[in-house]
Amino acid sequence: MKKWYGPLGFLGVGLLLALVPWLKTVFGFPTFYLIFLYFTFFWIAQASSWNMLSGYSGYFSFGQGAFFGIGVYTIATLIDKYNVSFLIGLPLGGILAALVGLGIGFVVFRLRLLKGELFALLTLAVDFVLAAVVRNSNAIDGGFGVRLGSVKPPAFLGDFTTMMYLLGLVIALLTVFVSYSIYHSRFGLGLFAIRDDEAVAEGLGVPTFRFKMTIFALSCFFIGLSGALQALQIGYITVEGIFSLRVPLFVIMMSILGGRQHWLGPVIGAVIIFTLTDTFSKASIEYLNQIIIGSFLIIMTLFLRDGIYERLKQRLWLSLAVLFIATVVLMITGLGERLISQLAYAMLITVAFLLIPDHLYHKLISPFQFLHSDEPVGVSDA
Amino acid sequence: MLLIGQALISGLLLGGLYAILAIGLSLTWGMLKVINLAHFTFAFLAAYITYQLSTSFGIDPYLTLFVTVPLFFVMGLGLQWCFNRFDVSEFNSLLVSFGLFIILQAVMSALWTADYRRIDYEINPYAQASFWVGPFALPIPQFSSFIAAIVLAGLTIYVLNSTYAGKALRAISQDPGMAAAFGVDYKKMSMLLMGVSTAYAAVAGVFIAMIFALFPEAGVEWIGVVFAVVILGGLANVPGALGAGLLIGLVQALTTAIANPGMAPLVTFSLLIAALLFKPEGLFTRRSTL
Amino acid sequence: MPEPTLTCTHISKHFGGVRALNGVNATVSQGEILGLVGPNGSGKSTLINVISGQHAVTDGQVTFKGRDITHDAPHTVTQLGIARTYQIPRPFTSMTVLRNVMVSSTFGHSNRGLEQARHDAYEALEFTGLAHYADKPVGKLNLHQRKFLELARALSTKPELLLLDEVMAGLNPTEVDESIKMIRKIHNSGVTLIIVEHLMRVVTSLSTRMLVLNYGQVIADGEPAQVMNDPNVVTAYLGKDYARQ
Repeated sequence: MKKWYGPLGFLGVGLLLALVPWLKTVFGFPTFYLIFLYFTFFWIAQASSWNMLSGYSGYFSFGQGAFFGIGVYTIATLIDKYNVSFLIGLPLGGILAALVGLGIGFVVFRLRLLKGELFALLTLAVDFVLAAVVRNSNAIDGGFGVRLGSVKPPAFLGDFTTMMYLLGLVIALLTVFVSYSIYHSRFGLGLFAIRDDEAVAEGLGVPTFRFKMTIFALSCFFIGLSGALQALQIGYITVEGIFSLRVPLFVIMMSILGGRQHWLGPVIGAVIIFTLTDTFSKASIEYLNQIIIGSFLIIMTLFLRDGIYERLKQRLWLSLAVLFIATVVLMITGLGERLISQLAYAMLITVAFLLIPDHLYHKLISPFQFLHSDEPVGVSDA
Repeated sequence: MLLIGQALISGLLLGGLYAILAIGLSLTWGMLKVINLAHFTFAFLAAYITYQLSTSFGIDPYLTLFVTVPLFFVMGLGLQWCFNRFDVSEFNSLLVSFGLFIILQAVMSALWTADYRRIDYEINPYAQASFWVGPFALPIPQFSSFIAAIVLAGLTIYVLNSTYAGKALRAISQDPGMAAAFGVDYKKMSMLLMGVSTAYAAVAGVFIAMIFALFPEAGVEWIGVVFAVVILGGLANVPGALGAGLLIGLVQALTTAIANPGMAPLVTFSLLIAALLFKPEGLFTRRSTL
Repeated sequence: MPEPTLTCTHISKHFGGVRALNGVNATVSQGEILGLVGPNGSGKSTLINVISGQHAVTDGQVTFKGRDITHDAPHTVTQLGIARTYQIPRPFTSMTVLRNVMVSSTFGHSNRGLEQARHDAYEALEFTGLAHYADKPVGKLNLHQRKFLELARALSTKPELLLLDEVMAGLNPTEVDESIKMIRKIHNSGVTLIIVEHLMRVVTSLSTRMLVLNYGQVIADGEPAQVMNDPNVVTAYLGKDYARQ
C-alpha cells in the first residue's frame, strides 16, 4: 500500500462529502438530511477519539462525558460570558480538554497498580466531579444552564446548517485521519503492545508513560473539539444534559459494535447505531429504541466479540450486496417510509447476516465459492 | 448544631441503604469477576413492583418483600446462568449487564411512564412516621433499611465464614480450578451468589419505594455513589461495604448540611478518586505483601 | 582483568516484611555466561527484575558499562543494551509473530522506523528459526516456539547483555537440547548472558561462572565445578547431611 493512498483517500472522501450542501441547492432535498449527516459526523468523531485511547491502548475510559463537557462549556462560557468568536472557542475547547487529560494522566499513569477497571471507574468519577464543579460555579454554569444565541456564520460558509455540516465534516475527517495514521504508525504499534501486556512492552523499550500521555491528550483534544462544535448545535446547555452518561455509553457501544481494534470500527459502529437510534426515536415508541439498542449490545458482546469490522472484512462483498439489495427492496416496497429508516433496517439485516456463525455461513456459501472474498477465513480468534 | 446532628443521623441511615446495594455488587464483582450494572435496575424494578403491589392491592410495602425477594433471586440465578453459559469475561460482563440495564430501564419507562411515582400515604404510613431519639428523628423506612443493612451484612459475614457454602464461594473466588478439584460446583455456587446479590437489590428496592419518588432514570444517579462504596469498601469485603456505605452516607449528609446538595457528589467522588489512586484495594482492606 | 560490564553492589529488595534480596554483590564481564542458581524463593527472579528495572531497589546500586542504571525505567535499560525473557512466555496476543518482534525491534534499540524494524524483526526470527511463522498469530505457537519468540524479541533489541529467566522450564529433553544449542548460538554472536535455571546439567554445562543465591544472599560465586562442590551450596539444596559426605 503506497504511502499516499491513505491521505488521498481521505481527501477524496472529504471533497465528495463537502459537495453535499451544494447538491442540496441543486436537487433540493430536505435540510433534515444535512442535520442527520452532521450528527453522524459528530458521533464518528466522538467514537473514534474514544477508541484511540481505549481501543488502542486498552485503557478503558468512562470519562467521555467529562471531556465532552469541557469542550462544550469552554466554548459556551467564551461566547456567553466573554463574547469570544466561536472560531476561537472551537480549538480552545479541544485544547483545554487535552490539558485536563494531561493533568489527570500525569497523576494516574505513574501508578503501576492501576488496573483496567479502576481506570474506568476513575474516569467516571472525574465526570461526576467535573459536573459538580461546573454546577456549583457561577462563572461557568451555576446550575442555571447556558443559552447560546444563534451563531452567525461567516458569509462564505452559507447558512447555519451548512456551516455546521462542513465544520462537523472537517472535524470528523481530521479525527478519523489521525486515528488511521496512528494505527499504521510506530506509535500505534507501541500502543497495541501496551494494550496486550504493558509490563512486557515497557521491558522491550516502549516508553509507556510518554505514549499513554500522548494518546490520552490526543483523544481528549478531539472529544473536546467535536464537543465544542456540538455546543453550537445544542443551543441550551445544562449540566445534566452534558455530563450525563448518555455520550460515554453511546460512544462505548459504537466502538464495541464496530470493533475496537481497527480505526474503521468506531466509524462503522457510529453510523449504524446513530442511524438506528434516529430511526427508532422518530418512530415515537421511545422505549423500543432503547430495548433494541440494549439487545443489540448484548448480542454483539456475546456473539461478535471483536466487533463488526473483523467479520465484515471476511464477508465484505457479500455484505455489501446484502446491504444494497435490502435497501433497494425496502425502497421499492415503500416499507419504512423514509430513506434513512430504510437504510437503518437494511443495516440491521446486514448485521444479522454478519452474525451468522462461521460454520453455518460456510455451508450456505459453499455452492457459491466465486463470490467469496479473498481473505483467508478464521485466521484470528486463536 | 441540631441541624448537623440530624443531618448525620439521616446520612447514616441512608448509608445503610447504600450498603445493602453495595454488598451484593461487591460480592459478585469480587468473587465472580462479574460487574453487574443491571444491579441498579433490578433494585428499581423491585421498587416499582413494590409500588405497584401496594398501590393496586393495598398491601403493606414491607409485605411485598415476600414477592420481590424470591422473584429477583430467581432472576439472579438466570443472569448468572447466562454469564456462565457464554463464558463472559469480566469486561464483557460490564457490557452485557449494561445492555440489560438499558432494556430494563426501557421496560420500566413503558410500564410506568416517566411520571414520578410515590406510594400513597394511606398505604405507606411509614413514610411520615419516625422514631424519636431525643431531639432527633429517625424516619421509620430509613431506620428499618439501616437495621436491614446491619442484619444482612452480619448474616452474610456469618455465612461466608462459617458455612460450607460460604467457604466454597471463597474458594471459587480465589481459584476456581482448584475449588473444582475439591468438588465445588462453580455453576451452582455462582448462580447462588448472584441470586442472593439480586435478592439484596430487591430488598433495597422495597425500601427505596418507601422513601423516594420513583422515575425510570432514577437508577442512574445511584450508580456513581454505590460504585464508590464498593471500591472504598474493597471488593468482596462485606464489613468494608457496610462501613463505606455508612461513611459515604455521612459524608454526603454533612456536605449537604454545611455546603449545599450540589457539592455532595464532588466530595464523594473526590474521595473515590483518592481511594483509587492510593488505596485501590479499599479503605478497609489490608494490602497483602508481595 | 577487564572492567566488568554489569556490577551489582549491595542490592537489597524488600517487599513489605519479606527480604527477597539482602546485600547481593555480583558482577558480569563481557563474554561470560553467568549461571544464577539457588533453591526456590532464593531471589533469582527478583534480581533479574531489579537489573532490568521492573523492580525498584530498596538499597544498592546497579552499574552497566560505567553508568548507574539503578533508577532507570525498564524501557531505558533495554535501550542501553540489557534485554530479558520471561519464564512463562508473554507474547502480544493480538499480533502476529512478526509484529511481536517488530515491537522490540523498533523500540528496543535506537529509535527505528517501521520498515527498518520489520527487516530487523525478520532477521531475529530467522536467527531463532521461526521465520516461517512470521505472519501467523501467536496463538498457533507451542510453548517451545513461544520461548524462542521471547528470545527473538529480546535479540531484536540488539542487546549486549541478555537475562534468561528459566528458559528450560516446561520443555521436554529434545526441546531442552535445542534450547541449549540456541543459547550457545546467541553467546557466539557476542552476547553476554545471565542464565537463571533449575536444571543443573544445563547450567553447569553452559556457564562459565556460577552465582548461588539462598534466602536473598550470595553463598557461592565461581567456577561451576568449584561451586557445585561447595558445602554451603550442597547444604542449601540438599540439607546438612549431604554436605558432610
